[in-house]
Amino acid sequence: MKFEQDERIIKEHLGKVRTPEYDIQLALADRIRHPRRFAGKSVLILAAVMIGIFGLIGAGTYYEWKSFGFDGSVSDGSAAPTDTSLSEDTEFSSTVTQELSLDPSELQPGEVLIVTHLQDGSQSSANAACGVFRTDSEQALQDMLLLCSIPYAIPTQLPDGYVFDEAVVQFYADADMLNTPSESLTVEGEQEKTIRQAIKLPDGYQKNIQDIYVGYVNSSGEFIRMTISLAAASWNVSFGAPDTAYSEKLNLDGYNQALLICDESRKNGSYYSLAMNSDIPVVTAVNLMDLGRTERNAAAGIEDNREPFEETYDQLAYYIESSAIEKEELLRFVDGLQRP
Amino acid sequence: MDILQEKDLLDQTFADGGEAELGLAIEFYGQPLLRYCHNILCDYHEAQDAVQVTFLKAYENRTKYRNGTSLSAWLYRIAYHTCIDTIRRKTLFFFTPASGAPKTHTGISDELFEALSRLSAMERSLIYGRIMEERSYRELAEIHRITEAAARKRYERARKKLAGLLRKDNRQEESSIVDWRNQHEI
Repeated sequence: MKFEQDERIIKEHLGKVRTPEYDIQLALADRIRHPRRFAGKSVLILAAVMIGIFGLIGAGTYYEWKSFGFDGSVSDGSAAPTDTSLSEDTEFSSTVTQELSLDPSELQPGEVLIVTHLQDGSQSSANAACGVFRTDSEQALQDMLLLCSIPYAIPTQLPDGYVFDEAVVQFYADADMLNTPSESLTVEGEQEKTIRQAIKLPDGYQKNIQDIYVGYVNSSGEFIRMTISLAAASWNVSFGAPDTAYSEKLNLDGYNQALLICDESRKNGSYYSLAMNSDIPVVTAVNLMDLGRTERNAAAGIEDNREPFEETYDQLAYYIESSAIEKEELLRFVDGLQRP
Repeated sequence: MDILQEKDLLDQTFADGGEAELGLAIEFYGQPLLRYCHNILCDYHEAQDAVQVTFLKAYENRTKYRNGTSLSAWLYRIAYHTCIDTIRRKTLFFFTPASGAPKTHTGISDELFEALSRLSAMERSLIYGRIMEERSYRELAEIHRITEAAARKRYERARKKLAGLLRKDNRQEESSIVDWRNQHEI
């Protein structure tokens, strides 16, 4: 039987997958004490803003987490977890829409890949990714920021021993960038089909900067990482940290709010993170990750009843973390932030 | 009391339980869930993270679990959604700088990784549940909140697709990124 052969082949391959066992109890205990810091702090701050990740991984009293707000508030276990796992089917469906794998590392800067998945005669998922600009040249970053009307600021002074390591710039789209011809997205009967559409953003897209990541390192591997993202004053931002951490509300010139969080319990010394925000002229941008929601789907007869894809931003959110420098050095670093 | 009886008892008590019940759940289902997440995410370290989050969420939401139902299916459902969240985060936050470790797929052959990456998360979940854990369609339907018929249909489709990919006789169905780039002349 064909299906038996299929299953045998699959079982043979899956049976070779090595999943080493590890102590989950111990890992959970460690996580409670020293929560994992994500590889990119854009994740941290955006996650806090957009998907409530700290609620999601538990701010309950049992886990001894704290949640720090910009206003200096600290809550222990009062934050309601974001219960995506137990959401209703409709929410679940929208979650599944994100499941198509997109690897923007294969895209050139300004190239946008839109993937629409059709199943059983209707759209089951859609997503898009945009190639980012990545550079190890500080000058190249500065040149790019000069074109941008949004006042992104980068450091002019670094603690001793630190040098520029890498920058990554992500772009948004103007609405008129989406006026490309639609393909037919109809599908007959129960066929399954994945359609990949590509857009190359028109010249000038480089000035539409959504996020910037800049990293600095020293010879010991210690780092300072800074992410600056478009944000909105209406967003409700809080920052999770272990119960051993404390926060300090700061007044920094040029910023609406600033919050310093320090965890001194770490083996390698104090670990600071500093979040700030500042006002900018309102920017209406198309989030490139939501391009799958565009009118092209409607034109192709695909029902799309999700929210509009345009976002309005009126702030820049800064998130800086340092693995080894002290508070005074961190504040000097911030003091030296300037628009190129 | 044998392990089946202990699992049955845990099914009856998890919602009202505490740390001891969480510990038992980890003991019974921790490693199987780790393997499950590994097969969906194709990344061992993300799977470790996902299984931790699964248990944290299960504990925080334990009152939403209905005693007497299948704790296993409930945990797998949470794990599945956690994996989806992980994939979504990867998609949403692709801005993550590359200063960390290069992308790896520890424990999975390149060939299998390539094939699995062409399946959706649900397809990977259905394949793993059906073939490696020998779950019934009813259980798969419960985990994924779809009908039993849909579970069967999607599984069969996924099985055919994955087997074809592993036989390397079906590659032309999927276009590479170079293909679509050329196709769209960008």
